[in-house]
Amino acid sequence: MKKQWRWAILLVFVLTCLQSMQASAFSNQIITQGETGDDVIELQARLQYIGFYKGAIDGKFGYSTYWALRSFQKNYGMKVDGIAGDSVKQKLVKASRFDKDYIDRNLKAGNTFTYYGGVPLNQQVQKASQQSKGSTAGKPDNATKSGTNTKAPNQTNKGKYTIDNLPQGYSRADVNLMANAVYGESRGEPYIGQVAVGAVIINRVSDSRFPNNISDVIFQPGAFTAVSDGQIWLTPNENAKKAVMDAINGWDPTNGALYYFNPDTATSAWIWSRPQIGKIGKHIFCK
Amino acid sequence: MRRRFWIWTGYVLAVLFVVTLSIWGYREHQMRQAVTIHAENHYQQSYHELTYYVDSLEETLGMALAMQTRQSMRPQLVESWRLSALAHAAANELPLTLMPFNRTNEFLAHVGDFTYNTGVKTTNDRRLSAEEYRTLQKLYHESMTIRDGLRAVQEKVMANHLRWMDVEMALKMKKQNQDNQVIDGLKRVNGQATDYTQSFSPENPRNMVFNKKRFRDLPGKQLNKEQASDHLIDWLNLKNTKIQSIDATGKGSSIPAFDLTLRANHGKGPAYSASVSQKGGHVIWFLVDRAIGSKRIGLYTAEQKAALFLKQHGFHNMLLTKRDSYNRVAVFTFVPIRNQVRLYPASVKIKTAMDRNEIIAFDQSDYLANKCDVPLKPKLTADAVRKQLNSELRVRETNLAVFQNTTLKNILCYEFFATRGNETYRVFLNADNGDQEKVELLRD
Repeated sequence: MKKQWRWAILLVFVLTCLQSMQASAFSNQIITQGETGDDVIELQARLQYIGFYKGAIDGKFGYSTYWALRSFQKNYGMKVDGIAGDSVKQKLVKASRFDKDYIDRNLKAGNTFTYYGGVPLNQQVQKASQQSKGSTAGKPDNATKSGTNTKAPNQTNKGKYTIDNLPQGYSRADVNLMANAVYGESRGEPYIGQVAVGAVIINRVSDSRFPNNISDVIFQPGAFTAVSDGQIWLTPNENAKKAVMDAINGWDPTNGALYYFNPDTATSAWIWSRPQIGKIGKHIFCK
Repeated sequence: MRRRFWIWTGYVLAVLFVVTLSIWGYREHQMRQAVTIHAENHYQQSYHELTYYVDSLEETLGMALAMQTRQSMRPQLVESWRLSALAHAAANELPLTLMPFNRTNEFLAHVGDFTYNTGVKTTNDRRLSAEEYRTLQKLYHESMTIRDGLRAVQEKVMANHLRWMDVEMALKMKKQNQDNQVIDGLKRVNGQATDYTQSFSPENPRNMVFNKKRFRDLPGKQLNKEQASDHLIDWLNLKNTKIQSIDATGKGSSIPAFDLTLRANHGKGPAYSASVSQKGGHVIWFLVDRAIGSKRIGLYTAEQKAALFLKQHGFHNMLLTKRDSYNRVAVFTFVPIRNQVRLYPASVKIKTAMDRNEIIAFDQSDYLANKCDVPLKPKLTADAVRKQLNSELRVRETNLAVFQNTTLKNILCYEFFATRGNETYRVFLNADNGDQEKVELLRD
């Protein structure tokens, strides 16, 4: 009799443990807009399960997730701030379910899928291979329809969200092209000198006397020696990319320069007549 | 006999070699010639296009002057706007980066901005104000002189078979005062620019060069190099630093400042670069170059620290409005709030490394440069302005905000965050007249 009691207590203990484990599937960090990763995937999935979130489950906390979370907070009588703290997560865990296996599997396979509660899961998946067949059959809008999820395989879950999260107004191609230019022009320079070259490109884009987009500024005839002699087509390293990101995020070590030159090799007399700002590494920067 | 055979063979081989070499050389030469001609033709085409567009531009501006109302002028204004963009693109195809060709480019930018603002953006049908009409006249006059200058150069190029490739070479040379008629002609176009340029600044369309980040009067007293570096080290809260360089900026800088590089930890730590204003010792920006380990903290923890950093350094009433994160760093943009109005042009940026939650870059150049001294009382109510939005849009958030438009004017706006399906929009509508200032599609 005593033994049986013991077993029962143990069983209850294990069950509560299991339950609390399930409830704390979220890590204990507070989730805000801009965050990426597994917590965001769970947040999106749970919000979708109860119908607040209709976007793609992709692990990126963007605006659609933000509005969904706010609607959830409002409906459940909580403080509406769009931040998923402990109490919000607890409420969410109570109100919804999260099938981690199902979601991870589909994210890995690159499938298009949704996770609405009350709908059988096998009706919510569209396999990546079927999807391409579907589009060749003349239904291209199937994959891009809102509320579905198109995703390159293995992109999530690795915690490696690279340059994709870009400042407003810049495309990935812009960043790559700028990295090429910065690398071709200044690969021997200190890091700050590379940021400075990136900043000059940005300054030219916003100056009315130069073209008003990045590729035209870079390819303007005679503007950059790396373009003239083809060094722009070298493969840039990580440092150049980092420098470009700093430059487009607004860091300008040149305090507004539009030109720069290497005093040892510059042949143009005119460039020497420009009002100078300062020297970074081997380059003199000027207006 | 044998010897003779060898001599003959050698002879034939030598001849063959010479013939192959010359054929190869000729081929090479031809190919090079083709490439040169191709490049030359491209330059020629761009210049002819430029003159053609400026020519047409002069005509349409002249025609616009004949009209009374905005509505009747609109076709010409829109056409001028289109032509100015085309001409600007053609001008930038020419190898003139290394010479003063500013006037034409600036003129084209002015025409573009003016015609866009008066003809495209404004939806009402009131007459042009006296000032606007005067500006249009001025642009028309300017277009005539520029057209004449460009035409003169074009004639010379045609008459004397001048090549743009030579211009490109000449500009790269040390001595620029050698005789090149194209360069001389274009310099003449540029020479008459000064009074024109001045007549447009500062409130007229963007004289970016002069306007961009002109810093307001900074409080505080003048510092010397030591004081500035001491202040910076104190401000960054660093110990055992080794200063590697400190230089005063030249006269081209938008603000007199000291550029510093230093390393903490007795010169073995990561490199800090920074700019400190000479007056008042304000740290305009700093940047640390260090490798970043694996991500250990979340965005929320990072933003708490960034907000605390701002508070500790005397920034009050700042609101976090933008978070970007990539490659294990986060970039936060804070804007000041005054009378519950967001002052977007005066933003401050902070970059945090997500391994140790350390602030590795900071920038307040916009904060120091933009006063945002526009009246913060709107003339219209939010509900009145909101009627401009499509009824399909669901407005989620409404704020008052100061927004800087492309002509660098600060404008009091209503900022609406609205959604339509899965798309989120941010719309700035002028709080005084309801005009649309900017629409953004916020991508996730």
